[in-house]
Amino acid sequence: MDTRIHGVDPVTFEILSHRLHQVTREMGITLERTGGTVNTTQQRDYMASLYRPDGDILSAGATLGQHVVCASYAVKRIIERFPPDEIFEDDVFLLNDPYLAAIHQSDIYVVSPIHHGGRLVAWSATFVHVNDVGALSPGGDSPDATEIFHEGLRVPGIKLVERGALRQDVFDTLTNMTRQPRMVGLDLKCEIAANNVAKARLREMYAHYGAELLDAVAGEMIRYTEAIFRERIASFEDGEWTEELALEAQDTWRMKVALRKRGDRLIFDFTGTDPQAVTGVNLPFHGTAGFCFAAVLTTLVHDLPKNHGVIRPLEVIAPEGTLVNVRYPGPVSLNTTSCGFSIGFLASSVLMQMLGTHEHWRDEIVTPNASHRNGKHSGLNQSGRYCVFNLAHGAMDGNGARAHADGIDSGGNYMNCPNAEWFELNFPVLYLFRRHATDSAGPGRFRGGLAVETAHTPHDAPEGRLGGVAYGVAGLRNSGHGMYGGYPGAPSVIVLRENTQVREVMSRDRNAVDLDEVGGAERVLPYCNFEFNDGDVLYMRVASGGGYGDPLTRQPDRVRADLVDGAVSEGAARDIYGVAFRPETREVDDAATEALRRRLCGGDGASREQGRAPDNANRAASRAAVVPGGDDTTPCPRCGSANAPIRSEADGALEKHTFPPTEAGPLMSDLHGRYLFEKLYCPSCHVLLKAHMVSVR
Amino acid sequence: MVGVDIGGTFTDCVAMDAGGTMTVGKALSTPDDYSVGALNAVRDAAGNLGLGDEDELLASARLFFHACTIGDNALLTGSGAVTGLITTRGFADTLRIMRGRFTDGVPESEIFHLSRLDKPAPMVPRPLVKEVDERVDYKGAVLVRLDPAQVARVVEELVADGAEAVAVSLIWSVANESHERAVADIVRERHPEVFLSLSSEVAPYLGEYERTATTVFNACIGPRISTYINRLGARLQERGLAGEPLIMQSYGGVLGVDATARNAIGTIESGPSAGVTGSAWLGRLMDLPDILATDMGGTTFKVSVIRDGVIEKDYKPVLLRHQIYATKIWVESIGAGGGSIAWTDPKTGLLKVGPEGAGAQPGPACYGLGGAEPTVSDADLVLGYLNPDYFLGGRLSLDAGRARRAIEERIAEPLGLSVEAAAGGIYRIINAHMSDLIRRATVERGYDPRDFTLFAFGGAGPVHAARYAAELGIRQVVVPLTASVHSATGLVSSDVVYQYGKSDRMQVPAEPERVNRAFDELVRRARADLAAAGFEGGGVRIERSLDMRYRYQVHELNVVMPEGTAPFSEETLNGVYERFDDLYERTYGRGSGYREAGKEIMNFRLTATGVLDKPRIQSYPLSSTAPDAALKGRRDVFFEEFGAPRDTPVYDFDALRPGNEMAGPAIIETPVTTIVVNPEDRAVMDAYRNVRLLVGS
Repeated sequence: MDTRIHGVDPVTFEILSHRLHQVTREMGITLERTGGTVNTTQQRDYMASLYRPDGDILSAGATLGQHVVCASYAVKRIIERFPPDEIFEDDVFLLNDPYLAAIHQSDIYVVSPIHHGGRLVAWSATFVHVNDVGALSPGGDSPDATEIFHEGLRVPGIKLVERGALRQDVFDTLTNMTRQPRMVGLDLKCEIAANNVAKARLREMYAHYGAELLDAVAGEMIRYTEAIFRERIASFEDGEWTEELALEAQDTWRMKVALRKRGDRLIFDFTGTDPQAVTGVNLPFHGTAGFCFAAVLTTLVHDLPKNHGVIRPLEVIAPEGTLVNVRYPGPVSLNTTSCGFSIGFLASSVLMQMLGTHEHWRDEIVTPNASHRNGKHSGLNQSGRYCVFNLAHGAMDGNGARAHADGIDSGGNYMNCPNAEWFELNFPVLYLFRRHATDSAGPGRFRGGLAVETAHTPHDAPEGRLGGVAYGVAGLRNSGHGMYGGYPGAPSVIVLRENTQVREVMSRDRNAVDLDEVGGAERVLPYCNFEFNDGDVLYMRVASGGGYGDPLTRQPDRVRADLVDGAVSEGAARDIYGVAFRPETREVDDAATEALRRRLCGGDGASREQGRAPDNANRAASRAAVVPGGDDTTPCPRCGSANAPIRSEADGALEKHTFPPTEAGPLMSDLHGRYLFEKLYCPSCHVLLKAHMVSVR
Repeated sequence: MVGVDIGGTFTDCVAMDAGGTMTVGKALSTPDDYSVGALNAVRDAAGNLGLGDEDELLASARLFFHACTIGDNALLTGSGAVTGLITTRGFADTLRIMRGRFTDGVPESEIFHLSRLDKPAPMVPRPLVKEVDERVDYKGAVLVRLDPAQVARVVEELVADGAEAVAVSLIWSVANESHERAVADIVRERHPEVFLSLSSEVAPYLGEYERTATTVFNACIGPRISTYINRLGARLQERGLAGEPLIMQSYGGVLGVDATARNAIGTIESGPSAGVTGSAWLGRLMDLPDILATDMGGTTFKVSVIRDGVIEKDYKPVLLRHQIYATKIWVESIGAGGGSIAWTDPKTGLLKVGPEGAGAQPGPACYGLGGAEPTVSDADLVLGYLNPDYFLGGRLSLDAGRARRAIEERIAEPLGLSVEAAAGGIYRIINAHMSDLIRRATVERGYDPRDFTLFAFGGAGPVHAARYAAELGIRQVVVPLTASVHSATGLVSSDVVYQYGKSDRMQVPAEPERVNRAFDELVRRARADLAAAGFEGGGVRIERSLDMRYRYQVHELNVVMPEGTAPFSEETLNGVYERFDDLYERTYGRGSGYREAGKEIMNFRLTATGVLDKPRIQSYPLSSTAPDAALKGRRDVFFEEFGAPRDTPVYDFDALRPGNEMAGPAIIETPVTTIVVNPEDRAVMDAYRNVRLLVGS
């Protein structure tokens, strides 16, 4: 395809594409300022974009990518449902049916036609995650729902505003079906306000530049993005990369993806993924496509105008009736933070593997993150008002390590978390701590970002208790995965401690920051509803970033800096990074470090301390085994040519060692009995090429 | 009155006599000790006044105003005080976690570039963050008591580690400040030399992250500011100044030495704040209440809004990519200036300008300092707007050949354009980016840019202003006479202004008694401070306001209380609540308001002004409209309307007389900038010797 722009001069093109993007930005700011739920006002869990008259993406705002795609479906469904002579100027439509366009019902799309001179010239669309939709569980995410009908209001397309006038009857009908009509009302209002902003701005642009020029620019922007994107894809060698992940809760649900790069196309093929679940983790097809689009946005097209040109070179294969293409009337309410985040992980993992084969793009690698668990509470707050609130901790996930730098500590996913004080002002909880979790980051030459761990307890809850819902990617292989020998990050967990000593500890004038001292009966929560009573403590740790490269190749000074900052413990510094310190000064002891690293590096496993971990025998038994390489595209950075991948079917044979999970760090103890830590070395030079957790089964 | 503004390169002095005659002095800034440059500038002004030395001017000065960049420089260069932070146990990482939000202050174009994003460097090294056992809840109830012995221990550790300043930020100090006070007492008793910064004093607002960041920044620059202004004060008094220097604050208003030292964060961006203050003052003189004050320098374009004579404030500004709580003149900025680099991708044929800039070294290609990349200034020169022999009044001679070559090689040839067309494209794109920013800055607040007069400052501003104004439908651009020493002029037009505030959430309708009590506390402090500064009775103005929002929202709008109605009755308060709804709809669009959601008061604010006499500015009788006496030559200039260079008159600003009128196209050269009068516009010199551009007349 021709990558040069045509029909528009480059100056006008730049001016107008900049302005279109500004419009989406203004829409986003309006959502943030005027929304009701914390997702909108503080977390940036929203989307604001512009669409062509046929529903193709014209300009995606700097917000959640998956919704940009789904809102395109929403616009198209509205166009199908309403004949052209029933779509008026200043109409606003609403849709939240996951079987048409939405991902789950809490995600409410509001879309508006934009007219100029009596002609429909564009659409605007927003999404916010409303605080309640009248589903089984307060807040929407309903672990006990088994069909779509349990999951709250489902609107296939309705006019919320007609010719500029709010349809109060419709508005009241919708909010009336939720547990928090006022807050949901604010959310709907903010979507209307943001769409009005888009309308006003686009009309000005059309009046100023004329429809002919703007239509030409719009078409050219999309064509141009597609052309550049295709050219970039074509610059890679054809290949195929695979990844798997399982959600492990009440049941285990497995997901698989193969990314095939063929010419100038990328095919994400989810064939082999498990049949859909009776629990609402299932994604509709457009959701799966949306999460693939989002993964591409921050890598191969991060610097291009974000529009329909990004979608055209992508193909998504998701067999119907599976977790990634749910068949009616399967439940979906938990899907964004379960299968959705998992698809995000799968898609970005295979993309990163692909980037690793390209000299230029290799430097853009960020190790993929399988995301976090989250929680919600509901009940009466300290002013006696019923409320539902999302703990919104995902914004503090540790990010993946990069090819040239550590991952960002508590960098999150383009979202934010409110202050602890804001939660405590509005809801009856008390935070015991909110801190970086030592040793949570996946070790590596460049380590992952640290996760945040928090604990809170009910405080001044008029009923002495709150309801709770635990959701988000379940399973202990969630969190960040390493690449090229980088270790995985600590799993994200939610642990309920019942009947603790928290108040007793505080009455002794000590902050309850040590969970051993806090005590209580521990329960790791899967997808479930739970009761949260006075005296209970909820511990949450979000995802940590995976590492990049063999930790034994990390600069010792960086390990020392991490030790001083509390990012790693002394044990991990010694056992994983192989760095020895002079006891008096805590300075790096170079000679001792070199000796320690020589001993730790795969060549001489047997000489390592025995008995440090309980089932150490595994390691001795397996260390001589030579198995086919598990990672098709891993070049050996030390002895192999960087461009000659080790292929499992051909010359590649990696040396495999298996360890108990805690070999990867002290926080991996939760994985005991369910996983083993497997390390794959280059058989010739013993450099670590892959380090990951494998299921015991 | 004397005003001295320290800039990056020059220190400006403005001396204004009772008749409004202004005398200017300039000297090089002296980074080793800025007070030296300040006195040199005063000496220069004294010389220009025909006085013997600076002592004579200082002795006759009734008031001495000052704006300095000490705090900004200390933060930018990392040369602030070694700062320790004492915080609640469990929350040591608050500053690093940043609520997971870290893209504030990141250029729009970089936000999707995941592999290159990072958090800002930590302000306090982790070992200098100390936790103490203590806990207060949202009601202010003490749950864990503070242990003085433990506090003493950590204070000793911090001092032993070299801390010159200690920031104290405890959870919920905004509800109960007793623990912070107790920590302060211990620090003062043991180490009176240490600079103390308490969150309950510096930023008594809800939200531990922003409050802590503010408190730490304040601690970091406090010792530097305090040393500097005390030394400056002593020096000035030695030389005969009767009073103390009055220091410009970032919200526009001056404070004495002690008040400034206590709240050092208030001096951030004090020079630019003085400039905006000056714009508001000029606007009052010229009967222009609604002003967009724009400043286009070498790298950054900034805009502030003055509405009905009142400067718009920002209560949550971003400082070095951290969100802080401080009252500051509201400024929107982008990377756009004379040094912005133009670039193109030959493969795509797109033309982009910025956000990267060439900086002062090597600077634009035309500077001849080794810069090879084409910049906005190079385009301005090629188009004929700039005079290569009279740039900055001839202080720098520009190399037109280098400018042409840079644009030809890097832009024109790859795009297949003529050099003039490429330069014209650069000029249009940068103008469009600036008008996009202004549009966002105004419409976001519910304003229509067409209602404003635009003031153009900065070396590059008047070259571009008429174009970015025209795109917004603005009819009048003013290039003030004082443009070259605008901040220094703004200084002498300032009042003494104290700001107070506190978070105290109340549900609406609030009990009038509680509201009045909250304000009374602020009024008491204000009256005491004003009295100590010598202001009482008629010279005092007190303005109360409330930050309000709909329930559960986080973004507030500031509603000013009606004057002269305190103590507030229920009826007055009801009126205020109504005004919030109106303000909300005005700001976010018709139909966005949602009274049913319930409202709350979040913060109480009070501005206390000690009114100072304002200088008059000399005005002149209008002479004939013909500017012929000022015609200094003609040259070929490129205007997009003509498609080809056109012979254009060039006028000498210094020779123009009030009343002179020039029809576009024309160029007016001043010693500090160049004013471009476009073909459709007209320029007039008014009675104050400001140049007014009447756009499209």
